[in-house]
Amino acid sequence: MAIAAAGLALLVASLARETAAKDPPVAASPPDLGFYVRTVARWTDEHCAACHREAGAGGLRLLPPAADRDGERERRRLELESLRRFVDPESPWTSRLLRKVLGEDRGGLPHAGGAFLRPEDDAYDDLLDFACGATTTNLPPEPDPGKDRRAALGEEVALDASASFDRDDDPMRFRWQLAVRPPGSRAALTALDEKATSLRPDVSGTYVVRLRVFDGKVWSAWRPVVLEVLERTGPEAPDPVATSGLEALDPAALRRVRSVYGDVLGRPPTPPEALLHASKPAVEVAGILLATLEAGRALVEDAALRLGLVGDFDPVSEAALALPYRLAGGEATPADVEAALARDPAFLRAHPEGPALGRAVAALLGRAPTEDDVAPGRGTAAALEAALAGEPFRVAALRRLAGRYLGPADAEAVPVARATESVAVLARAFVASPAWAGAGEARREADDLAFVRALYADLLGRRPTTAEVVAVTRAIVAVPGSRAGRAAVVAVLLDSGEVMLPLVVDLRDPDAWVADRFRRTLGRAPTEHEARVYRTALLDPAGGPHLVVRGLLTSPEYASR
Amino acid sequence: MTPSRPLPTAVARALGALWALVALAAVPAAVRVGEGGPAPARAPRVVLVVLGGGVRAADVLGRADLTPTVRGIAQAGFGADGWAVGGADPVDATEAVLTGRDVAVETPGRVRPRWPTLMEAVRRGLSLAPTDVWYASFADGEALELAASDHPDHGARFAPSLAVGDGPFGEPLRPLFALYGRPNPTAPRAWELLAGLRGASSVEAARRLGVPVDGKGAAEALRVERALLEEVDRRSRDLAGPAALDVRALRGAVSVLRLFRPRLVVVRLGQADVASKDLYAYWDVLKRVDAELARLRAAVAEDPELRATTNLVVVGDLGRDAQQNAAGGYGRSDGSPDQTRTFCVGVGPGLRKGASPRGKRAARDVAPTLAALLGASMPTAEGAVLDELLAPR
Repeated sequence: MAIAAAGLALLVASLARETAAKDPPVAASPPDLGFYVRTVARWTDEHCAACHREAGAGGLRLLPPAADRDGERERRRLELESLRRFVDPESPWTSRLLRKVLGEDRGGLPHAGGAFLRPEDDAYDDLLDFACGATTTNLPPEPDPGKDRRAALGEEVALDASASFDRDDDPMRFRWQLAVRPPGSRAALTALDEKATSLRPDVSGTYVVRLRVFDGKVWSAWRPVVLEVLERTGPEAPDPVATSGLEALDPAALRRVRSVYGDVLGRPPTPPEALLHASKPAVEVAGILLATLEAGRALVEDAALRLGLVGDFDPVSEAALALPYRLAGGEATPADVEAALARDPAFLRAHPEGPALGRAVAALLGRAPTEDDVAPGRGTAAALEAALAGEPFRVAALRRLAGRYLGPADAEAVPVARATESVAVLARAFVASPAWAGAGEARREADDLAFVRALYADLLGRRPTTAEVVAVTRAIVAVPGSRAGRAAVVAVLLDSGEVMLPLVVDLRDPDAWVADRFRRTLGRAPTEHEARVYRTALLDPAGGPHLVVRGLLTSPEYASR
Repeated sequence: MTPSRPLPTAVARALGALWALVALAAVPAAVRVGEGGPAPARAPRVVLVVLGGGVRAADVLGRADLTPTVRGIAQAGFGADGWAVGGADPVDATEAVLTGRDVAVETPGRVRPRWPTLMEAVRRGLSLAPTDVWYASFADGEALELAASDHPDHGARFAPSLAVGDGPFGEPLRPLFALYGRPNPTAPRAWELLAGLRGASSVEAARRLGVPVDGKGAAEALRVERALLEEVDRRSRDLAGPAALDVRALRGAVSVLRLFRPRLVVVRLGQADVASKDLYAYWDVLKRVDAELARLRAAVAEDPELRATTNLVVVGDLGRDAQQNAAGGYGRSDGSPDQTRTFCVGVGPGLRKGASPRGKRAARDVAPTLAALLGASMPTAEGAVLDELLAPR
């Protein structure tokens, strides 16, 4: 989700505050009027003014040309003020200004005026420079702390900022910061102001290091790099031909590890992940997964979708964007997560004051809206704040988290007093409980989001992006009340060219391939009858591997809990 | 957790084969998708096509070379010209057809009807779900305002579902296609195999999910899935040439019929309006629309449920001048009978074959008559129910 991507630049944990206290005050530069007038204004006049001039569609207001020079200068100043609300200097790459002009398939936001640019266009670079605080005499530097990676406990990890650059070739200064470390860790960066630094992880978990660079005039925004120190592998794209090795696993163990992954990460494990973790106790696997950023992102993504904070309503506040990191650090309670999202400015845009907000508040409290909730004068920001501060909301958030892991009755039975415990502690407790094993026995069909995530994990070996989640979930409901939308999505993905499936001639043992596909997608071996029918379809000229996989992925059993 | 134990192979095979057979057969009155419950057995359906934009009755009923399908409908059911139009331009005249009231002089710029449309009356009167009543239009934007009135007792609450532009599923599917393109068409044999795969797994899946095996529901799901993907294959969005927008509207109606089997579909066409400037283009429009009407009739005929219940009615909105204008086309302002009278044809189990209206007839009679056919009423209509057109119940 974009939440997590943008949050990379915005987390201010207690550790960060400690570090910042020793630093001179640094901040990314706001957009510059001169650069706007010289480089950006001509483009906005041409592409944005038709809708945003005078009428101010979507909150952006551009103005008509003025009669004289002073008027023109004032006009551009006012336009810049309006544009500032669409620019985030601390995370310029995710500024709404930039995302509004991109197509949704390129990470953009819905925009009534359409998509104007691609990331490779020169004009996009100009807008990015503008968001980064470029001036007419200086382009801001670009930090590059390297790629996210996995690391081993106790082994030093080298971090190098050599790939950072400044387009004006100004000499650069560097500022590193260890923004997140796991609970109990005392690890520290060996240098804070050098081009290279290192870190020796002392506790398993997720570490986030950030880099900011200075070209003598402006500081860049923070760029993070994530170090995962966990016993993990994958996810990775499945091998189209080779068997997965899942046949070696005990069926109960396979089912157990699929349940843990489904509950914590919202997706099934890829075969390498299942093989690595199937022999471990469920609670241990849950502990490993809960320490990942992916788990935090999955939980926040679920909550954001449930609250309608997607697309144009992506959360923008620091508190919301930092949530995945707080969760990976084991900090946040269920209510903390939902409250941060509900206090985000996007929430009030998605649910304007009045009946819409009244209904949203009722949903946060875990109940159906009453006439009182939607009565005139009731759905207010003050009512939202009062609800978020109350015990009923904390309990409702606890129940919603419990519902990810347990059946409805068991989720209701979780003691109210546990509402103050962190998500990580609660989730481990849920997985350790007998009720969790019971919920695993009583299987239920996957909801749309679980279905989408399972598809991407099984077919592409990765999580879907926000744009993909939004596009696919919209397609799923194309025919209300029917599974036809899901079937259409499966057909589209299988024919997209991104899914690797073998040719029949490459299969040495069709029976084994069919059985392996059952284990990969349904977590079980086929019955004798299923094996025979699927083999027939596999070898039929009108069938083949695509049709076999299509049959499996459109089964009501697919992605079920 | 204990591993699942499969059913005995023979039982599973027998149940799976039964499921596959059911899935491949057409299932009448099967479980409906959408918000509504199961439709009553043999509930009548209506497809009303407003062949709009101004069409002379003589060009439709008198020209076998232009509109053989429309003439075929008239011969198989009923057909008559001489229906008084209810408005002076295509929008007002269409509004008259849909509301059952003549529109004398409308407020300039106003499109939304003041009085309930046939679609609202039927949805309200029969308590139908949104997916049971559809409006397919050649134009979107303001033109869609004709679908529902701002009458205080009707309006948005009883508005029909809309099928415009890319068809009924274009909007939800477009972002997906933008990311991945469209899927390849599924061959008929592949559908058979897919039904077999689903059948083979149905018993085990039902056992693991703790639900009963639902062969009928699964067959309906497969029918809807197939119709949806075939709609995708048709690529209505890419249609071009004469009357492309009219054709899209008719294709959208076909998709809606196949997927939802709704009680009422209203299709508004409008590209015959080109007649004012270009007579030959007008004829091309009539030819292509007629061909699409044939496709629509075929879609109805190939589905046993639709064939037994669907009534197809085609009506003009208004006519054309008696004489060609200076541009060589036909305007619509001379007040002649050619311009102020239109046609209506219909065929279906609820319509009397060979019937003809007694006495005067007007476009405003269409809506109340079709409402009566469906079992609803339109008390706000000024037109009359033409019982003589309806088959005895």
